[in-house]
Amino acid sequence: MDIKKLNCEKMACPMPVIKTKKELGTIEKGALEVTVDNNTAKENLLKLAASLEMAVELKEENELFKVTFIKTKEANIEQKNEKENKILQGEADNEVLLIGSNLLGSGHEDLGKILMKGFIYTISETKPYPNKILFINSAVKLTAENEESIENLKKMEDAGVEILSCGTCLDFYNIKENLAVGRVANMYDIVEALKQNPNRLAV
Amino acid sequence: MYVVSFASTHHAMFAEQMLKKSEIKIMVIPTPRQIDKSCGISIKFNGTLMDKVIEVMEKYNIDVKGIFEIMPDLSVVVHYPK
Repeated sequence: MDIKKLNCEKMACPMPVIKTKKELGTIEKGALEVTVDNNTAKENLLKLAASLEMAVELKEENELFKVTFIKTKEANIEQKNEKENKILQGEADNEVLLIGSNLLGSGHEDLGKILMKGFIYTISETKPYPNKILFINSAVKLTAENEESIENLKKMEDAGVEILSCGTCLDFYNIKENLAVGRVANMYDIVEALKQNPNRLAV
Repeated sequence: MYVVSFASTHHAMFAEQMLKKSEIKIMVIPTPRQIDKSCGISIKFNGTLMDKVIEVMEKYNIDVKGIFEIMPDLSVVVHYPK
């Protein structure tokens, strides 16, 4: 079996993963030995292999890691797509997402804000979309104030997602006039939405 | 899609503030998987603003890992560092 070699010493994350991916694309069948000099890069390569469902061998030599990817069939990537399609067609219908804060997780406020923005962006990039997204308490800032979230939520609204913001909360933060996406809802709408939909996720 | 990724979350958050201050339209996103699985937060921007983005990064000495373009076929082109 041919073994191609790729040297990624002295490269910072994410370069080794990018180079490896590119190189793997050029191989139909065979092996690719990637050399990296740090633990993070090694771990990232192992994760890459797992996500591509590809077999790997790991060797450590003179403080260097040699990760060998083994491509046995060309179907690796197609197989993965098939699996993803199955999940897409699955029971993700009727999903409701309840967002209860403008921060994601508990901890530093600045970090919470940035994580929430990233969360909403990622939801907007991940199909299938939920049926409804409900915003309560400080989460209404995401539908009334935060430009980036509003942009991503509008994209989902255009695709048929119902965006509901708690009216009491908009009132409380004095931003009712600013609501930029979706509509105002009351507690009855929110409870109804939660009860009618089997898949509920609250963050 | 163009994204800039950073050495740390703190650099990403600082970069966000500085880019906004410079009135460059951006969006904070989790680093796309095509680029890396563990490098945290990136900033997405319109490719036509590349020079301005680089200018801000250099002006404030922000530790940038790279500027990448994710192509429609999900391959990645590295634009910075050259």
